[in-house]
Amino acid sequence: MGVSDVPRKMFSMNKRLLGESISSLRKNSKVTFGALAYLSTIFLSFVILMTFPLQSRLIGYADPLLPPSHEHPLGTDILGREIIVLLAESIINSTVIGIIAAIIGTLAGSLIGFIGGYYGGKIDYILRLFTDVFLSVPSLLFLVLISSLVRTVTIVQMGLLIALFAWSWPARQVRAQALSLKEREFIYLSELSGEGKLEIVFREMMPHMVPWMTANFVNAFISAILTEAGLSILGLGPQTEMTLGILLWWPLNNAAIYRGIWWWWAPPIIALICLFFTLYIVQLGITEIINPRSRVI
Amino acid sequence: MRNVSKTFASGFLFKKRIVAVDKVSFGIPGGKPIVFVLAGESGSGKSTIAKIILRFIKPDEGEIFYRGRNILSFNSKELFLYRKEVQAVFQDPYSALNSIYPVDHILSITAKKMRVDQNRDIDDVIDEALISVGLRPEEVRGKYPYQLSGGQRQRILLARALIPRPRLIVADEPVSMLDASLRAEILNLMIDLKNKHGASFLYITHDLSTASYVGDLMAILYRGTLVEIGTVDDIINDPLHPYTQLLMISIPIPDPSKRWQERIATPEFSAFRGLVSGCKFYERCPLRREDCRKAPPSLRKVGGRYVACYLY
Amino acid sequence: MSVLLKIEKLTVAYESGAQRIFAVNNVDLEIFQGEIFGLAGESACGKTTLANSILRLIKPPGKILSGKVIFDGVDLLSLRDTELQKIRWEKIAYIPQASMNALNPVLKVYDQIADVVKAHKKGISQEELRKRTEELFMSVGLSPEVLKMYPHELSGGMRQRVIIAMSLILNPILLIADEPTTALDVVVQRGIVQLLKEINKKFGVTILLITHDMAVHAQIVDRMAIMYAGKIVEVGPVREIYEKPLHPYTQLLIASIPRAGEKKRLAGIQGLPPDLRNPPPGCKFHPRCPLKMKERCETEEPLIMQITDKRGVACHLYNR
Repeated sequence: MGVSDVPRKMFSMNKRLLGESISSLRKNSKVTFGALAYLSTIFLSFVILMTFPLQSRLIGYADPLLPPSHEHPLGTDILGREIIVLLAESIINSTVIGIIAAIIGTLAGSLIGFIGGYYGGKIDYILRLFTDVFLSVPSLLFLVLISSLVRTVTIVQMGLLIALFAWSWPARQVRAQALSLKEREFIYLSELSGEGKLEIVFREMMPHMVPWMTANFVNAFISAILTEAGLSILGLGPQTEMTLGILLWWPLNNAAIYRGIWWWWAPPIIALICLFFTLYIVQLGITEIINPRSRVI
Repeated sequence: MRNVSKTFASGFLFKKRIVAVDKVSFGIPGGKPIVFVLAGESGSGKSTIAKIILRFIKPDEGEIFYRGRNILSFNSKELFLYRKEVQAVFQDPYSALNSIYPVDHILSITAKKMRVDQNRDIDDVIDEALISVGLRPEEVRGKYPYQLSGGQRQRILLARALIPRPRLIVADEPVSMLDASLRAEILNLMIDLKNKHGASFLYITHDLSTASYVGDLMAILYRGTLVEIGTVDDIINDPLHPYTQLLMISIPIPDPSKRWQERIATPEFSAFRGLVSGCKFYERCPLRREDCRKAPPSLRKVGGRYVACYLY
Repeated sequence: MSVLLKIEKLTVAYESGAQRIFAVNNVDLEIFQGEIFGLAGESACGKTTLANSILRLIKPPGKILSGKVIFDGVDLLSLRDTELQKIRWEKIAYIPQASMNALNPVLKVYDQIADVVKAHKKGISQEELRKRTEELFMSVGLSPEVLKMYPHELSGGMRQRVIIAMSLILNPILLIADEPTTALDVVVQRGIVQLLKEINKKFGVTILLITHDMAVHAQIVDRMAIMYAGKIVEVGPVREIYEKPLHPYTQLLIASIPRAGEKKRLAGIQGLPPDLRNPPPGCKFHPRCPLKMKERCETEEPLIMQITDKRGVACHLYNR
């Protein structure tokens, strides 16, 4: 009955639960549709990257500002780069940033929220204060401030930066969950049945929190992509790489709209909208699953 | 060959700006298994006492002795052994089971950790427990809580409580959320388990009718203070404390030929409760006197029981 | 005594997907003017659904499939919404389950009552409203001070009295109370039960009391009906039902009530209530009935028969 037992038991119990959760996710039409749509976009991006020659993303590959044609499906930008290739690259990069920010934000936030809610007392007070500060501060402004101080950022650094503010909402949610779960009768009963504290947390409480953590993850993902776009449009993004925001920065800074160079500014915007919507649909689906689940029939 | 199991609680004062339990002392005798009833209305502190006995809450003052040892001083190993001997069943069979697991989950855990004979197969232990509460294992194993009825769930909780062969089962309003016809069955089950398994029950309730049906000894709580302790028969037939008397006449008798005749005054007081000097029942007591206000009466022996009232 | 409310062949079902659950199944009921009528039965027997359908408060997935609710000569189920609004609260008042917890926590008690009155009688003056409310509060045993308080400052019993006062403010003829005493302590419960009796005597309000607590029924109702699985199985004067229950379910139900001071072994009812998604054929009670007659009870659904002019039972034992 030692601590080493816990991971093994937790694994076997949760494998079954994992299987059940995945199947309930798959059954929900919104989740599958949204997820498939998003994944196909990624897949498509990879395909594009592989079909087009490597040089097409380099400066001077072709003539600048060519409108869409057979040869250049989305035309070229001011530096003569193949826009469709840049688009594919940026979709992938933005996704990476989103994932990094969402994973770190959700995990860190959940941990902080849980510790506060579970232990209560002074620890909770301090953590809650911390969380509330980050929650109420205008994150975009601070991110602008921070990124303007840093010279160059990589994709990963961008993800970490956004994670800095992405954790506070999950923290609050998970804290509320932990608080309410802690007092539930089945938790008391588990203690009476001899379960140790750690076992109770992972075996009894965790499965209740996972649905919310998943919803938080998707939320953070969407928010991260949009935040990155916002920062990059302002010129504060990872300039050396290509992300959707950076892809938008170029046309905006070259008066593309005024000049009617629609193939330059339209693709990233449409891509952003599409990605947003697919993820939003996934989020709707997850919310659907959570609600009837917690209200057991 | 029965070991004397004695649970003796003495003197708590539990302050959270509202005094939930005020210097309560009582003892559940060991020897023969009995059903000890802790009766009181909502807010009387009875659930708090249950949680204290189960070591979920720490009292601000006082000690609880189980078989002569103070449970508040237990280390984790002793606490584990204590939990084996003192189990519980709660009021709400719906929230007492983790909805994401089938009911086997909590039964297996209890069996794995607390079964008396470590050599026995876990499934056997579980099946045996289920049968002893009147359930057929094949009907309930593998099912999720929502697939079972309230009565079945409550029986499963009883089965779980029996697995460690406890000496004392704290049952906090185990039947108040069940239908009338089910109540009788669960109450009968409690009596049978007491006789067959030798487990004593601490039956906590506000319903004096069920209390009188299953109880042997009874203690009445009023706003955190014990007002009367004695055998169930004595108290029901001859209530001494004015509050007990009030309770007894308020019980609706399921017989239309025995309707309440007089109108009793039931002055309501608001939910706010400050600290009160003197007897807590003063406001509502029809037999009150001036000296009742000065200091709270202590429990005094009257015949075979204890009453906290200046009348005696 | 004249009939105040007559329910005819009422059927209410809940539909989810392909399944249809008959919560109220072809129910006939009569309530006389001036009486206290009790509707008893255990959980999921349909009594709350029945109460809700009287005032057409059934929402999807529930649906009133057929039947009539005749009140004062008019079928309530056929009225338009605007007409029904005039009946609700003004003629028929309804206290749903746990309504004492549904009081608005941010409004003072007086304001909440004023809201109700203003919604129905727009022309009433402040003075008159105040006076009426204070008088009403005193007659339900509350001091007018309570009007200035917030719900959370009141005890459960006081809140229930507030709810009862609110329901009476427009002088209804019929009061439907669903489990008015369930969450209350036994002493407070007695007070509320007494209060209901007084209202009936003093103001002549007919009361439909719905509760699973058979002891409460025994204390105040005049006539009662017992429901099981959406159907009425027995109806009649309360004394006769307790002295000589006819339907096996009623017999078992009464035998399972513990009485203080009696140690006789109580009998429960074996088996479980029927799964209404897949109800048993014939009489819905037959799987648990100790007196069932094999063939008939398993295939044929018993209808309510008038045994005497006051008593009705739905059981083949009385239907040779």
